[in-house]
Amino acid sequence: MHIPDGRLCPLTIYAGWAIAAPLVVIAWCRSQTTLRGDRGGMFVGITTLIFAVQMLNVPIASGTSGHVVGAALAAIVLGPWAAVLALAVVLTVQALVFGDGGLAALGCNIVVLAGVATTAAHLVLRGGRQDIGRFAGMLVAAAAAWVSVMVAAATCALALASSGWHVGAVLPAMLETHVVAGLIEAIATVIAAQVILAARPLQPVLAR
Amino acid sequence: MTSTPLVVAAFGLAIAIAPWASQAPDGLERVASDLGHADPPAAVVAPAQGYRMPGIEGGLSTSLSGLAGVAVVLGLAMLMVGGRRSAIRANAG
Repeated sequence: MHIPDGRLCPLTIYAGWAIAAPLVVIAWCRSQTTLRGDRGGMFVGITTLIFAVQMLNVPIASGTSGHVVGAALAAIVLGPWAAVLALAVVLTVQALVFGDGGLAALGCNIVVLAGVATTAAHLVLRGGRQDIGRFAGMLVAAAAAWVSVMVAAATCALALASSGWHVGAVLPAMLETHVVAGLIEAIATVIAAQVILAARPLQPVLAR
Repeated sequence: MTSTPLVVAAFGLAIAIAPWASQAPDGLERVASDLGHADPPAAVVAPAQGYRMPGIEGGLSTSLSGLAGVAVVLGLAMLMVGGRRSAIRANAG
């Protein structure tokens, strides 16, 4: 759901940057422990992996495709602030090098796919912070992934609505087209988290 | 687990699988056309617009752009963690 240039009004574009710029600065400051510590290597791995999987559009419904966002996986493995940073790096390279998402719209795309998606995932994950079992943990991770996609889709719809799209049309349409994308996100997130966390236990991030 | 397997997986997916990715419109593009919003004109053309290397045709173009993209993201992320190769190996995460 990368918003291209030409879809947003100037006010929404400026509002996006006004939120995205301090968000990235705060995320950078709050991520220093993660980046410089023993999770630094994992930040590199997760960020590159997210770029790669976002290239992989799969057919979802009649004539529509979607790809994994990765915000929930990043939040699980890296914690919320480094996750915001990871997504912001991916979105910036996509916009600058590949024209995937507009340059002017990059602020809004960072707000939606780095800020909102990660925050939504993090809030759900925190709901499952207690010492829950492995299966319950997988369910929480799946819920976090699905919710992150749906809330991001809703925010994306609101950004477009603020630029003149009919909110009563774009909001339900965006939610409807992302229900299945959210399910794919949930399955991919659980599998990836299981593989990565099993290979090197990082549960503390979930528990924080 | 070091993060090296993740980086290898990223290169593998971007080079070998990305050319087979669906070209169908994504959810946002689909909603835009369903609601009757015309495609916006591309204001600025990126160096590898649409994950295609200029002057190269077919799946190879997507593979090479995936290779370049993963390399750029890898470089940026390594700079952010301190630019040390050891940062990837050292318990990496």
